[in-house]
Amino acid sequence: MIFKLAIKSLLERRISVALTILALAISIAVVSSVEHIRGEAQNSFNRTVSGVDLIVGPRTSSINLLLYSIFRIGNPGNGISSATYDVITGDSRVAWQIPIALGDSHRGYRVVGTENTMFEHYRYGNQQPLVFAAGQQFTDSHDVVLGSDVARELGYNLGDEIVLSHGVGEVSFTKHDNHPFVVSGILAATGTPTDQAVHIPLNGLAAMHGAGGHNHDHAGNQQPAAHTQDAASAEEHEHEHEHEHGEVAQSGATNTTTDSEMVTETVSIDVTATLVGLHSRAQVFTLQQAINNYDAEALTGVIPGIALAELWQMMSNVEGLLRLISVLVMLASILGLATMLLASIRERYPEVNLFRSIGVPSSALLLSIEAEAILIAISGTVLGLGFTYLAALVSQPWLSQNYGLYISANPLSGNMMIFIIALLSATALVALIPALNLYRVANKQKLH
Amino acid sequence: MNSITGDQASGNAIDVTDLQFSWSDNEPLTLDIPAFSLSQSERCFLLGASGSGKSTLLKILSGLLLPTSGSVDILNQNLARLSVRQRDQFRAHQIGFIFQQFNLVPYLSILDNLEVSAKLNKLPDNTFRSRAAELLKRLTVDEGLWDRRADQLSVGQQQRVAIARAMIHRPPLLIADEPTSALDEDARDAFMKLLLHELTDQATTILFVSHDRQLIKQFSRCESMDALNKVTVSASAKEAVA
Repeated sequence: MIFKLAIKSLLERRISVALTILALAISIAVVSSVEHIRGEAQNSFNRTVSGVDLIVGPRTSSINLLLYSIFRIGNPGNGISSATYDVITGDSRVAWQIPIALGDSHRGYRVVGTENTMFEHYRYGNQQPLVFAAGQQFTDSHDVVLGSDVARELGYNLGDEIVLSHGVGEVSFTKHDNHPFVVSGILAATGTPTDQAVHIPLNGLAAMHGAGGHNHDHAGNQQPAAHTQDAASAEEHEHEHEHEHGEVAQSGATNTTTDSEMVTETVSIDVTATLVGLHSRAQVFTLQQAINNYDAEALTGVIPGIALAELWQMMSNVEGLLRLISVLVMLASILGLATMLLASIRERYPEVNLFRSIGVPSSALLLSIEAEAILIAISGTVLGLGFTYLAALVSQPWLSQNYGLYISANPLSGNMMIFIIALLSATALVALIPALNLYRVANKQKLH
Repeated sequence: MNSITGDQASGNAIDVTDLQFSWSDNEPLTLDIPAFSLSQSERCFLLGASGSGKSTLLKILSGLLLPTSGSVDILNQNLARLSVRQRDQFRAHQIGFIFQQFNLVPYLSILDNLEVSAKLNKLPDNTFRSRAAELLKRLTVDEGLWDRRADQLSVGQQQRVAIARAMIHRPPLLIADEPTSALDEDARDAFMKLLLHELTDQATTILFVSHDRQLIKQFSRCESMDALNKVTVSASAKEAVA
């Protein structure tokens, strides 16, 4: 009966109640999305790489190296030379290496120059290997292996020809002057940045850059092809241009002068970073030290787990601040709720008088105010979580494409549950202010 | 009937002796009533204007306030001996109240308003439904209105439904505080007929407070606040009575 009365009483004040619920919902949405993104980002990052013992890149901060080599966030610096790459390969402690050469993109997706070791040794999540949904790994320098998102979004199938002309994103269905790649494999979805990657062999990348250099001389010839692109890909062209020309330096000077068809076997291209697997994990620290002290080139060796821990450490201050802001926003809206109820107490005098006269105890009137407060808090919470759910749902593709973040839409985590319980308790507590006020009035009997 | 009257006592519905009341220690007395009693099933008209202390008296009679001194026995129960919670229960079970206005919670439907009283008296659901239907039919409130909000009814309809609300649990004592003041003559007459002859049985004790002298003849007994209360009423209040 108390809840029935509370609901009808709230409906009677529906405008101020609706505004209060909205205010509460917005603050819940802020809190839950901060918490959600934080938790999901950590989760997503943690599951992106496993089984890699060491990431080696040029001299840079470990977090920076981790971010661009694994998560493809930010712009990589210089690469490491193929000579150094070969030295690492030759080290007796090293079991395998996955080279990563970044710098180009294809219609908004990163092109990753790598080797078949990627498909053999890379692990994500709980030590899961990459699985081919269709096709197979590279057998030729013109092969391309697509991440699942790329294949799905761009509608590519096995055997399709793709032109990766030095960063200019374009599909070539006709025989073209550029270095055409053929889709040899499509990976199954992993929920990691791999889904967003266009993998090509390193020698293919080298050839592409050779061909790209060649094409630049005939920029005029490319115009007709560009005309066939839709506006979106033309825009991408503009965008991509910022990324190209750089990180993947062509090291074989002869390559640029030879015919692109000739560049097939030699791998003599700088890589952005390399992921190293060891025979024995125990050797990771000695190898890391050796790499950090390598004389011939300034290198950084990063243990992924430690770099991630550093990243979270760095983020924890920001998180703390966000949490503090969240709690303050929350408190403000709870106080708003109490104010709204307090302001309604005077309007309730006649009904309080009536209820008391027919024998309703003052304590029941106190509880009805509490019930109203809790109902508002629950409605606000549900609405706020709904906002977060929708926001997560809408931003999922954007976050995965731009930040390699794979988040679920469900904002209900253990932390969030604790937060909701705390919110309801705080609401019940703060609502005692109007509730006790009404109780006092109900007992005093001197209403008018 | 859920009367708790015991035959060993006076048998009066209301027994007031040496009642004095003031709102606080340093305020003058509002009420000073040496004696006032009402026997069971008696129907008494109490003449009193606002300011005469009648509202305060009614609150004391219903246990919402306790007297500063003196004793108040309602249906042979000394209210001062009950806790606040017990007085609330006593009021819910034994007394029906009808006010001048605001007898119904405006945002609740007619049936919901009646249900609040029924729930306080722990009436079973089916008993409540049949009682409510019976009362509302006798009040000639159209069944289509039963689920309407109370504030959509006319004032006359609201006052009639107020009788139903007060009588749903058949209390032995009915207190009406200026119930007809907001009504025009026709509505007033219809209301009085329902109150005195159709909705209450002859056993119900009625204390009817009003300043409308035309209604006196419908009651077997008439008292006036001025006579009962030894505290001098302000001049303006006296004028209002006259």
